[in-house]
Amino acid sequence: MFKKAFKVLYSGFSLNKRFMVKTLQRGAKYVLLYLASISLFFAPMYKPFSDELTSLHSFLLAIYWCILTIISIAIGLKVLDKMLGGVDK
Amino acid sequence: MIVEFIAILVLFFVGGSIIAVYSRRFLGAGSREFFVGGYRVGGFLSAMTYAATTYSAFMMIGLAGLTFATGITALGFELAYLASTILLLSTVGVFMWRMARERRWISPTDMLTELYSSKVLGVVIAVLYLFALVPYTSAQLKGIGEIFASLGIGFEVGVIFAAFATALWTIVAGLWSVASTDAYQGIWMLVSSLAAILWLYLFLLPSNGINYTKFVEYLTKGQNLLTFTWSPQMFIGMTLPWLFFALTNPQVVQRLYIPRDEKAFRRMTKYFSIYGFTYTLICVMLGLGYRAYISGLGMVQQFASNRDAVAPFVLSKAHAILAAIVFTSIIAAAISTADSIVLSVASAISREFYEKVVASPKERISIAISNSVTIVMLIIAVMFAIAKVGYVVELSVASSAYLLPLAPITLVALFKKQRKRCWEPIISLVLGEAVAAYATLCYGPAKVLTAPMALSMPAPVWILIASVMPLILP
Repeated sequence: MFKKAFKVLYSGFSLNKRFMVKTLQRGAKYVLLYLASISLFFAPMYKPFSDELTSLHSFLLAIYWCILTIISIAIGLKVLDKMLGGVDK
Repeated sequence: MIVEFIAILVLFFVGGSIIAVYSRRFLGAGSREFFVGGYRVGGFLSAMTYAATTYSAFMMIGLAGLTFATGITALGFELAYLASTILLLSTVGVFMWRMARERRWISPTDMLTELYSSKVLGVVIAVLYLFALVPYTSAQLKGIGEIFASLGIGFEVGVIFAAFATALWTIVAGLWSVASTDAYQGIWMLVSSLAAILWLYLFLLPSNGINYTKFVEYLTKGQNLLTFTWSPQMFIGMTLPWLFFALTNPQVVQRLYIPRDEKAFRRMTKYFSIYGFTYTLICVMLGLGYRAYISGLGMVQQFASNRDAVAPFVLSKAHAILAAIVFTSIIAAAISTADSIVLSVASAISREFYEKVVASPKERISIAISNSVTIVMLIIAVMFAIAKVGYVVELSVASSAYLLPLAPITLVALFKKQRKRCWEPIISLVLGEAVAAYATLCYGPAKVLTAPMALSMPAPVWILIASVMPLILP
């Protein structure tokens, strides 16, 4: 019984450790992705950029933020699949 | 109008109460069942409770009012939050979910207490939650009070009704009643906001002679509301605390513990992203529509000092039943946020001040303490709401500023490989909170986020810098 319990505990630990190591290896890439995506939301603070967008079409600034959000969500869901798939494989 | 509103409200309350009572069937024994649903909540329910907890009365009243007053920039602010949350859920969120299940965490304080091996830290954070989230909860109650007041029923009646419904739906079955009523309220919020936007754009604006050309003209005449209108300090100051909302606010951190398996976690993230994107767009478009309508009436100046009153004013022009359904959805948004907050703060207090202090804690007493904290917290929130402090939007966001120092210590706790020293997070918290308190004293709670401090940077930037320093210094 103890042997079985130890086996279960050990497999849980190694699974989590493998997962942690894999994720930390990908960590830098994810941090960069996060910073790049979120920084772009702040780009319209630069007035000439936002004014240029609005001059092209009244709602282009809104469309810009919407497209950025959709891209971020798509990236997020793809990363999530990798993160959750990391242990299963 | 009052009759229709009361009828719909009674229907809403009875429906929610039936769901809350029914959810007791899923409630097992013990505090893990009561606070985190025994880690076995499905994907749909997890997503809906995450969405309804996150999106509060702020969306239909505060955000719509902010858009009415300052234009499309409010969309950037709110979508930046959504994008950041999805990216965090997909990375850090997975870590937290896995570790919570393995280590049997209940409250967000469990995570930091264990990872830093510091009981003091847990107590400090539980007190911080209490301090920071009472204004947030009272902002929800205040939103409901505004709706009641606009209908002539009485501000105080609305606040007390909201507090009663929140307490009832929290105490009945803990997380199970909160999550199931959140799902019910989340559906109500989305469907009625869709009905409101269809009515506004397909009926109210055209019937007042506002076509697309006129709409754009009203929004661009004078100050162009379709371009970036905020100062950089305001945009950074408002957005920064919300970028880390998923890591700092206990009511959403606790939601990461509950999905039953990977499929449920994936579904939670996916459905929440769809819900968040749709609901944000609707609320911002409502704000722009309100602006065009009010401009057409030449009444913009009347709402300049009370932008939170715009949504109730315009919605009161709708058919009585539609208006009642939409007003009830705002009440739903507020209650679904408030009950999640009180449950998560109560779980933190109960864990840190009872379960971890007593040698052999009884789970029955732990739940009784949690229920008492729920009631006390709601009484304080009611008093705060009746005092009518600040705008709903500033109150909600200011709470996030006080919780902002939790973001660096959470990230470091999860990812720092070296041994973590227990004094580091406490110094980090003290420095971060000191900057937040200094900004509050200098500029007042309404301007705490947006007023420029040193180097023209808003307070949240300095809060973040102050709280990061002790963690990165060797």
